[in-house]
Amino acid sequence: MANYWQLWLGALFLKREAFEYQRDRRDSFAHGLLFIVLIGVVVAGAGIVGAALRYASGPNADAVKNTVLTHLQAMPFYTQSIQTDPRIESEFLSGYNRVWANLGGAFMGYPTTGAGVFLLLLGLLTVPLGWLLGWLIYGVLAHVIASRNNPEATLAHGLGTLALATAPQLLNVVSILPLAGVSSVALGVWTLVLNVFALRTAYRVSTGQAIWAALFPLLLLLILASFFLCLLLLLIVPIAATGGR
Amino acid sequence: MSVLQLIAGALRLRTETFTWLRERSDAFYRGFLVLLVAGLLAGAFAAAVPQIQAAARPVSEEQITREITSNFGNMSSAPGAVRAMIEAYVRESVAMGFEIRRLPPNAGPAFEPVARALDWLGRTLATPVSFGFAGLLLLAGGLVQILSRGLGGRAELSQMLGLTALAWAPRVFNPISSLLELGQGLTGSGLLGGLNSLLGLVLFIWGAAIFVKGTAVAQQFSYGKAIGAILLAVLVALALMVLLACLFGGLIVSFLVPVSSSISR
Repeated sequence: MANYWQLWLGALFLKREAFEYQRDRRDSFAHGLLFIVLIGVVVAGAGIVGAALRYASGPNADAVKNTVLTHLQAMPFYTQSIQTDPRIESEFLSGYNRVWANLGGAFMGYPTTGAGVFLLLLGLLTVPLGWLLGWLIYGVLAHVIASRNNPEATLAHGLGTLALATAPQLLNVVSILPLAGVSSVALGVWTLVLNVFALRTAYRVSTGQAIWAALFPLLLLLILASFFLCLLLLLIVPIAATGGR
Repeated sequence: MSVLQLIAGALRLRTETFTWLRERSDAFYRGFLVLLVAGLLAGAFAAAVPQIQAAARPVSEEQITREITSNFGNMSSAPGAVRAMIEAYVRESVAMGFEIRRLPPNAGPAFEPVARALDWLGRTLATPVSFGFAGLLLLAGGLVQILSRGLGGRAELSQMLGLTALAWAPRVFNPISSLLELGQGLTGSGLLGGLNSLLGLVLFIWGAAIFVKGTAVAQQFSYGKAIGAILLAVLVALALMVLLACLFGGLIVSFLVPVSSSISR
């Protein structure tokens, strides 16, 4: 564990030795995989403890739900709607309950349903697995670009070194406390910087080449997302035009 | 050199402090410690101010409602009926907020002081990793590094980030700003507010001067070239923001226009 702690600290603060150590290991891929799993489990565990603390220090979810409902029902839009059509009351209530079931947990900062608790606990599995998936996809795409400048570098060593770019995610353990969180800009930029550093070390390429290799998977993702967004718009506009008929 | 010595050296713009940090292989780590200490100090006081203010001078539901509605009244020339309706919404929303705040914690009313302490600790610990601290450090340091290398700079990224982090050293005086804010809140004195704004300006200029010195030492630039690199970074950041805003705005308009015209047909 001490080894992993030192590696985390070295990676986070861009120590060249940490990245070279990881690149030169024979089991670089497996070591990197374990590094990500460890961070993922710790962050997910912190999320569970954080939710428990927010539950203890926060008010009862049902009490909040009823308070919000009472005041919404006292607002002009509701009283006027009820006067015009009394059936709106039941529709409003079912809609409100549906919205609360979906968003109540996010509003309260802790799960408000059994399914929410289950999902939170499942995070111990899904968080590391999601990160591993992202790491593999990102690593393979970055390898396509970076290995053109150094065909001798292997994917396993590239991925093993890239695993260190997960280091900033461990800062998320501060969210164990209510009202604490890490800036997503800080996390995003830090991770990108570490990706560039890792690619430069693993593939022994120039900084410019490493930046291009690090940005390529993100640009591809952006293009794909734009493509699907346009596709979605092409589907939505005709539906809106026909009024859903 | 300890963190406190680093902070003192940065505040006094001592060249030896900057060159000492540049030559270290753990420059980013040590620089970040400066930002961490300044962030924790600033956060601890900033997080305590609203809690002290709420305890010492609680604001009533009626006061807040009156303040919001009078602000709205000053800004808008809406007819009486619309204004009355908006006042009804404001009154209910404020009442809802107050009622939720009065609800006891799940762990019982005895847990309330612990909950407040946890809130304070959370806000304090979040400060160094917030956008204004770590986020800005990485963005500013990273962008200036890329542009400086193009201008012939010689720093490694870890050196640049380490020296950029020293620009957060003046934030160790943020607690004074929090105390002035508290004083202003409790006494309603405009003078304290003015002093606070002045202090903010001084700390900003002090931080900017350290940033220029840090860039010059890290990249082995003259001060003029360091200022040029920073100004160029500001321009690039502004251009990127405008570009992103245009792209985002264009996307929204391209979505809304066909939908609204289809619906109106």
